[in-house]
Amino acid sequence: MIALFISIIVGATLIGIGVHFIPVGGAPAALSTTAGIPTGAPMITIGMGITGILVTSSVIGQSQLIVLLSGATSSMIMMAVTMLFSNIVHVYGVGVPISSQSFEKDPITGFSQENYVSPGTTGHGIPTVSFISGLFGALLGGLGGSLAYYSIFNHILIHSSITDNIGTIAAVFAVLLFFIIAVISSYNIGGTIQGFYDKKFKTKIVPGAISCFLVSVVLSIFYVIILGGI
Amino acid sequence: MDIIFNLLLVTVMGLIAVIAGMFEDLESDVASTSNPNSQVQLAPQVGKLHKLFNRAVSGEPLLVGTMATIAGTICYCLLTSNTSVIFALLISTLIATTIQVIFSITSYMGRITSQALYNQPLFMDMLIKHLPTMAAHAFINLFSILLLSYIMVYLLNPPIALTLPITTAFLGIALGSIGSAVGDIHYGAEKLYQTFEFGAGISVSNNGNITTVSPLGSRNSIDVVEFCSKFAGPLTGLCFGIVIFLSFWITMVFGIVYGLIVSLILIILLVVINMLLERKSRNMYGEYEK
Repeated sequence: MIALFISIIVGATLIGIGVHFIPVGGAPAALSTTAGIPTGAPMITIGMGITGILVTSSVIGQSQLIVLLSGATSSMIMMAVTMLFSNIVHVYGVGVPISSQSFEKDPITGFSQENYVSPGTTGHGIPTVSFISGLFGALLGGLGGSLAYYSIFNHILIHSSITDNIGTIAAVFAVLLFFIIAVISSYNIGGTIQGFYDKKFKTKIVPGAISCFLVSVVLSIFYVIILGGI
Repeated sequence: MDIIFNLLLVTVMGLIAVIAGMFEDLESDVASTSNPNSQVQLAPQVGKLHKLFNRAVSGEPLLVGTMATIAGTICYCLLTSNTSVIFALLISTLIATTIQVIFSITSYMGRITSQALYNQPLFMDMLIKHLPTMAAHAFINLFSILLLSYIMVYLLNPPIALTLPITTAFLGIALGSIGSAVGDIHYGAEKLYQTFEFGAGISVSNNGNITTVSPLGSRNSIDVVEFCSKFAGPLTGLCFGIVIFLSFWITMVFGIVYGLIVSLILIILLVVINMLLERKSRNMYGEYEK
């Protein structure tokens, strides 16, 4: 029971921190008005988490480390492919160079940003540093999600009389974490963020991590009560 | 023999995912579901009356997820009562599509009547004309998601440890989030603002100032879907297809442990491709003049 309690707290907090790393542009990014992934932070986080859990559920019989890493890598692949295709549509469909006004120079590629941002906007697409930040977010989110899935699965397997559809029950509970935590983090971000190199990131990550931790403690208590009862 | 059968299945899953992704994005364009719909909603307030569909009530992932779950649940019930597979898949998709059509009608009417203050009329001809197109796209999309889930749950060996309704829900939500992250840009930044010059983001000052006329008469959402089907739709399909294919193909071919290493190499490769794309876009378009 204590293992389940701690696992859900750690898993949910990891998801919450991971959301802050994902470069999110929201609705304005769908108009190339701002840089980032052109959808809401909860939407992309839930999609990424679900891909991780789908793969986790197919390797659930393995050791804990393998299960966690499988979830994390599949979340990262989903995020990488989505961000790449998003950039392809920006470059060839809208005809804009990839750039962001949130920082002057990309520390990885060394590309200057400001002159490539079209007038009246704050950037378009996902620059390399934001891309890598998004992958890091997917790594944390995938790890957190698969940790929660693994611990819930094992708890039901060992402590309850249920023998059928354990994977389904665990998956539903694990995905619910994404729904709640992603919305909390999204409120904290408040609009758009371009990953860890964004000036906004430093002011947002600490309160975000603390609030996610507090919410995950409350969630974990509920989870322990519900899962203890079945 | 088993591995060959599984590989074939994963390839078929990838192909079905391509179709699902393509039609999901096009359905969201013809019924104006996701993020760019904020502009369609805003347009009458800046004096641009239009004949575009207007439906977004929730995000794309939640809508597709809900409809896929309805289809999956009905299919699961039919399958447990020993109905034939093809019949179960078709009937459940049909019912889910009908629900989506009803949702579209009420949603469109509700949204448009809320704009009566800005003199935006409700066009019945436009509503009737768009519904079959929307329903056709939704049917193919939901059927593909359902078929994909059926393969994952009942045919794949070893199958994923989830039941059919949950798998359809998960795939629907994942597809919705990919559809809104990839396909919407072409609709929002290009088609809605086609009167503006190609090759620039939409300035905040132009928000709501969408293109409402086409070369012949008013622009409608069927024009939008025709435009988006040439680039963003197929690309969204390809994106979802690759995600589904890679998720299962890697562990199947390389095993679970080596699969992790291959996944990491693939991720690094994707970062490098993105970097090259970024460089190419800069060389191709150059700096903006001040």
